[in-house]
Amino acid sequence: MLFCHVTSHIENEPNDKLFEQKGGGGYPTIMMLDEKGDMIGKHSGERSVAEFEKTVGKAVRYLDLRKKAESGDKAAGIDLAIAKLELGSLTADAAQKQIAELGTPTPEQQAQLDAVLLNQEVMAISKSAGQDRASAGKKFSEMKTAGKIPTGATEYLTFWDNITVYAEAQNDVTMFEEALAKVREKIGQNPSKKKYFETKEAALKKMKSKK
Amino acid sequence: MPRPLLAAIFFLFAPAFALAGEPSQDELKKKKEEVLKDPFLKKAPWTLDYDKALAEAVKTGKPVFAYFTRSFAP
Repeated sequence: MLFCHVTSHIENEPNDKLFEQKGGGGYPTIMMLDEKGDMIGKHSGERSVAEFEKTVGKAVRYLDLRKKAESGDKAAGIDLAIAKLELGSLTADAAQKQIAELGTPTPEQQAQLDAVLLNQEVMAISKSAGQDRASAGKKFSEMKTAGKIPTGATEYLTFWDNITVYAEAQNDVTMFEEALAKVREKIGQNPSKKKYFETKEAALKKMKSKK
Repeated sequence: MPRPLLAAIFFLFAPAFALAGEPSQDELKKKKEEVLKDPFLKKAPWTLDYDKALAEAVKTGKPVFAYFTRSFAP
């Protein structure tokens, strides 16, 4: 079922705070909800068929994990806690507490947990930096050197895009080119991003002329 | 103009300044109507009714694909 919700701020509008109740975030947001209205998936990244299929696949997996966890499957319980952390319906502390109660994560589960925590760290840095994207880019550049590169679609683009901003501020052509290439790999074929790449290419040209 | 007088004028008109940026209820209703005219809503069977969406999920056993947007701001 396709459901569209418009937050309007109109007084006494039914369910006007629904998005906030679901955890909110930026507009627009696409979520998968179960029959009770609980979030079981959240779309991130490009709005393409391939990316939507990933989101739906994750939601289906979430339902499967929930069923298994409810029947006492502890490994599924750990996977479910990681999935909830990824969706933002559990905090890092709460997820880690639940996981500790269920047992020791497998190396794969630990890697997945670390990846989700890293994605969240990237978004937290970006949010706290606000308009000062070069400062976020500096931190991301340090994370990159330490081998900490996020895997989430939005987080990955945020990470590398902010590095381009930092590299531009530093007039570091090599860093800029590397970061821009990473962004291009992901969204270079998207016609709506044409202007973004034109702006970045112009910045690169300017940087090179300063050398 | 003396500062105390300026401050008095500011506090006197502060509610009006604050309200100047806030759209009226009529404006908010118009903004929502505009958003609901978006062609994408005509291209597929979208519902705007949350309870109906959940009832359909119960009936079909399929999850709800929910698109959250806003009309109160651009």
